[in-house]
Amino acid sequence: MEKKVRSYVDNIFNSYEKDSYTIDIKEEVISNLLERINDLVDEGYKRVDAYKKAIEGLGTKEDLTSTFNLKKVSEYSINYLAVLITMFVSLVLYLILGFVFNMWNPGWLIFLLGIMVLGAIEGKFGVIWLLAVCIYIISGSLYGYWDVGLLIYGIAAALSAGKDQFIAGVWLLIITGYLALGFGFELWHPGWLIFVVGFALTTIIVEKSIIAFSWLSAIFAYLYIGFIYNLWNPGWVLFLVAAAITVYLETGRQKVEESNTDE
Amino acid sequence: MAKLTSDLIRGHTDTMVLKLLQERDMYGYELVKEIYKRSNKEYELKEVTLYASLRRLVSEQCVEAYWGDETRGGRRKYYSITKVGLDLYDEKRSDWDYSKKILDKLL
Repeated sequence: MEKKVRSYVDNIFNSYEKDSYTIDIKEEVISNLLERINDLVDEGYKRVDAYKKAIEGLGTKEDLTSTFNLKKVSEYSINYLAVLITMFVSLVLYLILGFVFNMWNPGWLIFLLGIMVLGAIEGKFGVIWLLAVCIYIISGSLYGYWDVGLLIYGIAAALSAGKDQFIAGVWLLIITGYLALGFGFELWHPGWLIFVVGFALTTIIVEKSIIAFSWLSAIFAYLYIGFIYNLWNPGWVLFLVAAAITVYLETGRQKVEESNTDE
Repeated sequence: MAKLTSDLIRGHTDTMVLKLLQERDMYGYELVKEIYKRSNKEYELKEVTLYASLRRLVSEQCVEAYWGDETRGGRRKYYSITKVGLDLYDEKRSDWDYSKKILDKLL
C-alpha cells in the first residue's frame, strides 16, 4: 500500500523540481495519506476502498501543486537541448575514436557514458551509475577487464537499491552467478545477460509492472537466435526494440493512470 | 453539505487550525480528523485546503513545523502554535464574534 501511495504522490510531483522543499512536502502528504488509509481500514473499509477514499480527501492534483507553489521543471527546452548536445558530442567522439584511433570497439561505450551523464544531470539515475560506467570503461581499456568488469553494474544496482535489502540481495546473487558462469565455465558471453534478467526481475518486483516482460522476452529471443543461428551480432538490436517498447508502454500506462485518477 | 456553506466554513480554516493547536501539537491528518469529529461528521476539510492554511500560517510565523521521530511507517510532520499564532487566534476570534453579532441582527 505504501508503494501505491508513494507512486501516486510521485506522479503528482514528478514534473516539478525535486528540491528538498518538494521532497519535504511529498513526505508529509504521503504520511498523512497512509495514516488516513490505516484509520479507514480499522473502520472496516477494504484496502482498495480506503485508498480511493483517502485520495478523494486529498483534493485535486491542480489544487495541490498550486497550493505548494512548486517550481515546474521546464522539461522541453532543457531536455531536448541536453539530449541533442549529448548525442552530438557522443557521436563526434565516437567517430574520432573510430577513425583516428581505430577504437570502434570500446568506443561505442561513449554512447552509454553520454546517456549516463544525461541521466545524472536530469536526476533520473544517481551518480552511482555514472561512476559505474566510468570505472567500467577505465578498467576495460587499461586492463582489459571488459568481461569481469560488468559486475560493476550489479554493484551499482545493489547500491542504488538502498534500504531495500531484498533487491540488494538479488543483485548480490546475480553478481555471484555472473562470476561463477565466467570464471567457472568461461561463459562470460552470454553470461552477461544475467544482468538484463536481473534488471527485468527487479523491475517486476519493485514496480509490479509487466512491462519488464518485454525485457525478458528480448533476452529469450536473443539467446534463441544466438545459440540456434549464431546471430549474436545483429541480434542485440532486440534490446533496442525492447527499450522502445518499454518507453512506449510506460507513456501509455502513465496516461491511463492519469485519466483514472481524474475521474 | 451545499457548496456555499462549505465555502463559508472553509474561510475560517486558519482559525480552526489555530484553535486546535492550542490543545496540543498535531500533524496534518490529525487536524483533518479532529475537525471532522468536532463538526459531528458534518464537515470534512480537504487535505489540500489544510496544507494551504498551514503554509500560510507557517509563513506568517503563527505556527512552527517539526518532524516527529516515528520509526515505523511515514514520519509525521507536527505543527505547534507560536505566540504570534495565539495573538492571531484572539484577533480572529473576536472578529468572528463581532461579525456574528451583526449578521444575527441582519439575517
